[in-house]
Amino acid sequence: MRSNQAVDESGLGLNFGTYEEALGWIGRSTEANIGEVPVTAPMIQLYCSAVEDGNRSYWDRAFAEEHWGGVIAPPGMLQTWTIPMQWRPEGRRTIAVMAAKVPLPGDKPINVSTEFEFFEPVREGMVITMIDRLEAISPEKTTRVGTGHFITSVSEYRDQHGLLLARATNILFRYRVLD
Amino acid sequence: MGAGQICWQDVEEGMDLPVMTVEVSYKMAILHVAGGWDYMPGHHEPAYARRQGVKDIFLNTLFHQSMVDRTVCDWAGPLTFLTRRKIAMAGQIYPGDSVTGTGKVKRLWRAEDGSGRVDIDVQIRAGDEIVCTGDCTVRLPERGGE
Repeated sequence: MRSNQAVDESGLGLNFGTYEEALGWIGRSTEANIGEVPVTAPMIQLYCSAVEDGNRSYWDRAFAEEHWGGVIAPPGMLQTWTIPMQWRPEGRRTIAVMAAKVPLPGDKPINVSTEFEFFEPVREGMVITMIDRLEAISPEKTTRVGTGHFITSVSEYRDQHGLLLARATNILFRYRVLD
Repeated sequence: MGAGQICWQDVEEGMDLPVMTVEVSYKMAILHVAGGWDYMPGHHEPAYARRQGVKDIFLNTLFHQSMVDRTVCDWAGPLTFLTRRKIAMAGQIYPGDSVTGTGKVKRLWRAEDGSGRVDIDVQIRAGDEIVCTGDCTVRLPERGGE
């Protein structure tokens, strides 16, 4: 039998508490998650090599400069730019997302749906900042993976000058596996 | 326009996109974690993944997003700008899976700024199982627009 003590193995810095506590968090935002590295062509191309994406706008500098004003990043890796490094000499940060910060019983997160609107391409040289706001939390639900709550949050991604690049509405299920 | 780019005028509602295929190996799963920086343990630690109620490490949301984006942009070309993408997760992608992406043009329309937009429905399968559906809008260049 599993103990009732929830343990965070997710690496997301989960806070634990009750649904009633969580409801008081609706409308709150995280601090700004500032990218630890700027957008660079080698990072773009490492990502593209993992998904075998040969789009010239990500690989061909002359082509990208002519059409976009520089090498651009694929939209599928936007979240990457604000994820902290896994180790730093002064100690690592964890990314602040409301689905983790909001106190709830669930110790396991799984993504349900994500809707992005994109306004501007992400270009080499940008430093990306993300702020996440808690929109809604469902009452307790049981699915095939476990029992927990659906959490809706809205993230805004901006460059270092405040230019709005993208907005994402994310629904995540935070649950506990039933024994 | 050339350069493998489709223009808005060349698109018709109901068109099927060419099928996109990717063979997912353990190497690809690890390379994707390294390239995408998502170190949530379900994507690299088999024992954690099994405790999470799935059979093995599984590819993350970014990978699903990228499979949808590749299905659309491999067809539409490098000057395509994705303006909207909604994905719904329906299952997992595991190392060893053959992933395919299919798409169909749903609607052609013009935005308030006059730019040509195309709505596309995408389905991503691992083997025969649908693991993700995508509802996308792209902005395409116009013929003679450059």
